[in-house]
Amino acid sequence: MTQPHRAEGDAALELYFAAARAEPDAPLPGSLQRRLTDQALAAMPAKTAQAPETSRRARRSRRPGASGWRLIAPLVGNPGLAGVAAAAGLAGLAIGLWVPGLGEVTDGTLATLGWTGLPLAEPDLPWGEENGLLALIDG
Amino acid sequence: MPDATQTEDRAGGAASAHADDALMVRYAAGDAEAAQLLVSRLAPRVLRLAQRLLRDGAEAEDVTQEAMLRLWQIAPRWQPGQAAPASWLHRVAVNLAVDRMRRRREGVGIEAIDEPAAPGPAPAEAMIEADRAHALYLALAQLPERQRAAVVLRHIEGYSNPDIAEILGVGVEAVESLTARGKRRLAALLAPRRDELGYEE
Repeated sequence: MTQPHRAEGDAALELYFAAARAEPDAPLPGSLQRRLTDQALAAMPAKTAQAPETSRRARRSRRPGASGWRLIAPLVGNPGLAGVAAAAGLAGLAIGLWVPGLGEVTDGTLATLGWTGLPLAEPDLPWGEENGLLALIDG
Repeated sequence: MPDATQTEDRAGGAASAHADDALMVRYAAGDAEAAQLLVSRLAPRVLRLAQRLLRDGAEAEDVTQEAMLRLWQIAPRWQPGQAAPASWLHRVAVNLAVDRMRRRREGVGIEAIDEPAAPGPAPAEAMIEADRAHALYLALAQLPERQRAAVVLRHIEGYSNPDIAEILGVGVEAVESLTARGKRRLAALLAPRRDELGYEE
């Protein structure tokens, strides 16, 4: 049921609300804007260049040669030996390539770099960016 | 009742929330430009809301700064597509403002209420409008904090009841009750000034 006195009261109040809504918005004061921006920058997390896939396992899975290691591992049955086999395979493939600054890769080049038939890096050590030669080979 | 402009605002609200969401993700990734854009997009309305609730410029700025700080702090854990950043921020701002209202409840004198913005060399109607707004804020200051917040959000800021429910953390029925009781009290407080403020039936 309609209540006339309530409707009248609402209409009267609406005038007041309309007056409040009509008040001009003050712009954000410049000093407050600066404070807010400074605060935002100070609280900002450090810039992340890539997705935060930082686990050791994830890093290892991105290394050049890692896919080959995964292929060989089931055959060899030992991850360590699989790493040796993958590295040896890659080093063998490198022979005959032309590497800027090194010239043509030969057995002697690999020996100069410390290659003695053992893996250049343990499976748990970083490959790829940290090992320019293998990165080049894999690329 | 929301007018056509408010309805349009709501229609554009989803797109705006999406843009704010994207800026939150960029901010969390360390994008300084996103920080500036979020300040420009969100802070003015938070400041206006705080001013309407508190009627004190310095306190409103403090509330804005504190609310924005909480936004920066939650940014790394922000889940896009859930609460809109603006709604989340307004909820924080309202709670901060209500806390301040409670702290100063003991003695809000009429002199503590800021005068409305000076209308300048305006016609008589503008003067009456400014007086009405001032009278309204004086009356609002006498309402319990949550009633005041509900009335301001509904009838001055133009939020829907479900949005107010989300901001205040209560049900829609509680919002309806808060605004109804608040309006009854306001009508009683303002009735003696009806003639003075130019109300015509």
